[in-house]
Amino acid sequence: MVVLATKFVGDDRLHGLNMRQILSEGWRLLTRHKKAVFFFYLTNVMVAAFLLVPFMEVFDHSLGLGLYREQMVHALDYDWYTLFVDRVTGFASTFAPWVMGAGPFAKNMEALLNGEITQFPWEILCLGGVYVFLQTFLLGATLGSLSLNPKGTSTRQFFQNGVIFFGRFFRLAVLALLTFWVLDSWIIEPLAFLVNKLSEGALTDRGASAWNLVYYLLMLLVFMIVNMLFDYAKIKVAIENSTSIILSFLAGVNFCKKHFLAAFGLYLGITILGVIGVLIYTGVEHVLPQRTWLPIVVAIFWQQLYVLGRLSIKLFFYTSQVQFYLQRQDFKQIPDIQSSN
Amino acid sequence: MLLCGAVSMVIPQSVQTAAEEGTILEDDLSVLSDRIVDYKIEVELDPTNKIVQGHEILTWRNRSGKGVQDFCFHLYLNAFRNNRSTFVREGRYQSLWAGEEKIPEDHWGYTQVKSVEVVSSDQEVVGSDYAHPDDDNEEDRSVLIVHVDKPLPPGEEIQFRIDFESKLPRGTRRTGWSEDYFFVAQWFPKVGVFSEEGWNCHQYHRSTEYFADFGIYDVSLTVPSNFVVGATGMRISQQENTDGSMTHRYYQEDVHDFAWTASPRFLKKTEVFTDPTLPEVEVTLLLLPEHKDLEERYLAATSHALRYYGHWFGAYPYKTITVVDPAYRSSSGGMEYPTFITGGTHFWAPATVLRPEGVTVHEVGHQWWYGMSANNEFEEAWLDEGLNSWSESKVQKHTYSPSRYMVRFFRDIPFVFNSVEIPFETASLSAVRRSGQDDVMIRRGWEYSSNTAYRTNSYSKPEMVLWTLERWIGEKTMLEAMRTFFQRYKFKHPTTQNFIDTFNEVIGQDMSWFFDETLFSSELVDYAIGTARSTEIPERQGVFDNGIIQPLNSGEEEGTRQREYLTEVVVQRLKGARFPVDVLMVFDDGEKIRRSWDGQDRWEKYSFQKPTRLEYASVDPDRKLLLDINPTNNSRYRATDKGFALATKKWASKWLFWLQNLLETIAFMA
Repeated sequence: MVVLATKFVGDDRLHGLNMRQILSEGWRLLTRHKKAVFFFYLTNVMVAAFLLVPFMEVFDHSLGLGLYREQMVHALDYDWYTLFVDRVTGFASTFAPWVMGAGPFAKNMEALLNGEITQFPWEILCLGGVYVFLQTFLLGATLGSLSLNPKGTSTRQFFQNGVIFFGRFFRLAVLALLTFWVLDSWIIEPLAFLVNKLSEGALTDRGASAWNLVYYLLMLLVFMIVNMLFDYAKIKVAIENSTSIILSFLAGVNFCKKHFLAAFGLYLGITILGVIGVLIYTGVEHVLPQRTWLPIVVAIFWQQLYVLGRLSIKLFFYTSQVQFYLQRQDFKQIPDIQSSN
Repeated sequence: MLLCGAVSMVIPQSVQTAAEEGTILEDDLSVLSDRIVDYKIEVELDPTNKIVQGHEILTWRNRSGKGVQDFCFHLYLNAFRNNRSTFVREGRYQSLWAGEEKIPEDHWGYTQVKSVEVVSSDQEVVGSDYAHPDDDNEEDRSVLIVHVDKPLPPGEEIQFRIDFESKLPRGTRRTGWSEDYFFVAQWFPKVGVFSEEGWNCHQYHRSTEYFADFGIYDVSLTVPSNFVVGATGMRISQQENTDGSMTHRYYQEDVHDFAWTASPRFLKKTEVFTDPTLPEVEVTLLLLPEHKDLEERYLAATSHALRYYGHWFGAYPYKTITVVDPAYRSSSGGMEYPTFITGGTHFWAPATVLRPEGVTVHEVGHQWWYGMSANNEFEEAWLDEGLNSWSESKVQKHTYSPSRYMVRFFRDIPFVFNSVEIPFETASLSAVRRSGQDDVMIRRGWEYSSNTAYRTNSYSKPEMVLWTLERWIGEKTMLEAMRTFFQRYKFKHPTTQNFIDTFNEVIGQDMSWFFDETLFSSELVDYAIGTARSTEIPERQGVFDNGIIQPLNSGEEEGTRQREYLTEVVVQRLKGARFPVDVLMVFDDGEKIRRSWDGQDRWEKYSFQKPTRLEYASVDPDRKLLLDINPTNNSRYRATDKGFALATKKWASKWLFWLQNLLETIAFMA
């Protein structure tokens, strides 16, 4: 079986690139693999849409058959909302005014940092499970394609790469989920307890708030680092055809340790790009009137454009990290696997 | 031991002064209440040990027609003495301090009466014991009965000297300390209310507040000299002592409680409230430094409340009001005491969310509903909390834009959703919907089925009832009735029946049916349009009375026949409460037909034969029945058009967007 990342090995073109150039090379690589973005988006919207029809039924029923329908086109009516909250259970109960503006990002980030993802209704968690499963496949396909077919792939090749790497990526995903679970149990909970104690002991609400802020920043930092370690573990699997996920993870850790500032700087840089994306999305969403058909359709289009943009940035993460990994890795140590086949 | 020097006795001639200045426009300020009690209290705060120690001289007048030999005192702080008090037991032994299971010793609080003696006459105290009139809890120490050897005859007075020590609890349930902040409430032995039925002196319950007689408070507080002090009434002197402490003396007539606060961190701001037709009031704000930027918002809210309550119900008769910005986690926020209130806010308080405004208006409003119209909060809490919740919302509605929906993400960061307005009138409807059926409004505080039922029936439901009543009788009549009630019962202890009688009198009709459906019933209100349809009437066919069998299209040319529709509207009463309602039917040609239904039966049907079809029908189209728990079924379109589901599509797409992002957040962890 020929499963190799040999195209990059020995390629000196990437050596000596600065961060801007790495990003530029990452972007170039992304443009060659646009179909990955498309498949990611398709998966995202299809999985999410699985609950859309039942949600719409619940929502539509809650509006009644009268004048509230018109009111709710103009603005979210608080009386309706409290009625909805009081009556609806299950996945539809997740609807709240924070679905507007920057609310979704804040809500999700808060759930992540508080370790509250598992508290969403089971229907949504099931969808999350399916999504992780499909994402793992697509990520294997994408990183495999970046590695094996850096100049672009056919759809068939793309999915073949997914099949090749799925098993290892899936195990890595399980390891990552386990790691986050351990973080949640061993770090978040004790840390939250500690911060609660500290903030309760604070003299003022400002003091307590400062402790909370420190807590969230710390958690964000930890989550970003863990995520970054697994990114490089996946890259290691794809580029160097590693079969052991433990060794790949350790190699990812080793790589990040060796190039921490640069690796984290790259991570942070693209994160900032994501934040800018959120700000642009929120700003535009805020000014769209959304009271008649056309602006509502435009808003829906804008939402989907944002999701597409977010997924592009996510893949841009990977292409840039791949470039960075290739630039910094000592390839002389990589065995010539091709000749061994 | 107090080490204060001589304190100058400057009893303010408030009544005379106010009269001379001509500031009393509508209220007679001579002697406002029957002044059953007269407290002279001298205490010293030991901030290290959190102890207030001293004595009180209580003069009590027997205004009843019975002799009194046993005297009942509240020792409220004993609710926090241990975890066997009725207060703790009613909370199912939950810790009084959230998150604290093993309670540090300095957290508990108590009032220890060291000695009681009669100093006014030849009567003698012959004993005392703790009582538990409301339950079987022998370990509760919140009520003390003092026995004297001879009955006090009607019309006579008795004077007690009580030496006591009050250990303040770590801030919990409206009182206590938090670091260098001391909020001292329910802190002294306080005599109950005596009437022909005997003593009304309940234990301290989890869900109840207070009840006391009006009188005079003359209180000297000795605290470290660097402490800024605020209290009920006017500060009439301030004396530096040789030990570095400072004695502040406060005096107030015609109030029924006294609370105070002290902290070295307070910033003090004083301004005078003025209004062309109301007396001036000195407003003092004690603000924590971290909330300095909220100073104007606190003061403006206080002024709005003084103005609107003054105009609507009657002028604020006291010379001062002190507003305290409570310390973080002190559990003393949002409380009312005569001429002295606490607000509550967050350092990051967006202007569109009305905090501290809402709480400040509410607590200032309690000066009317509780402070002056002093109902028994143990037994009929709705009479102050409910009336005041309605009044507060009304003041806010006149002075502010509706509050906006806000979520604090990451515990502190406010996200305000400006397009979602929280209407003042219906902000409490959800509580009624969720727990309105659990209990009735008129019940003793600790006897509600749950704490939620107490809150709903004391705050939310009465507020909604009053908003509904206002829409029923009109704002002018409503304010007139409320004003009459206030004027009639200020400085007295009104009851629910007094309220009903006053309203019936002012409205000029017997509204008992309304009060039966609301105050005395736990039934919910829900009227709905069950059916709204128009059916085309077919051409005449068959045998009719004139014996002629009509042929098809008889007398009409094809296509020229005037179409007619049978419109049927069925209005339903889905819940138990019964109210008369209007029903509006709007037809395609714009014609509107309005009918009144007495709302007694389960349903009512309206039929019309018209050349146009119904567009929609609406029950209670003016939304008088704000108590209606489901306004979405109050109207119904006959037909759905292409834009019918637009709202669903709009909001579902936003929910989908959130879900798409959530999936990505979940994938972040894999």
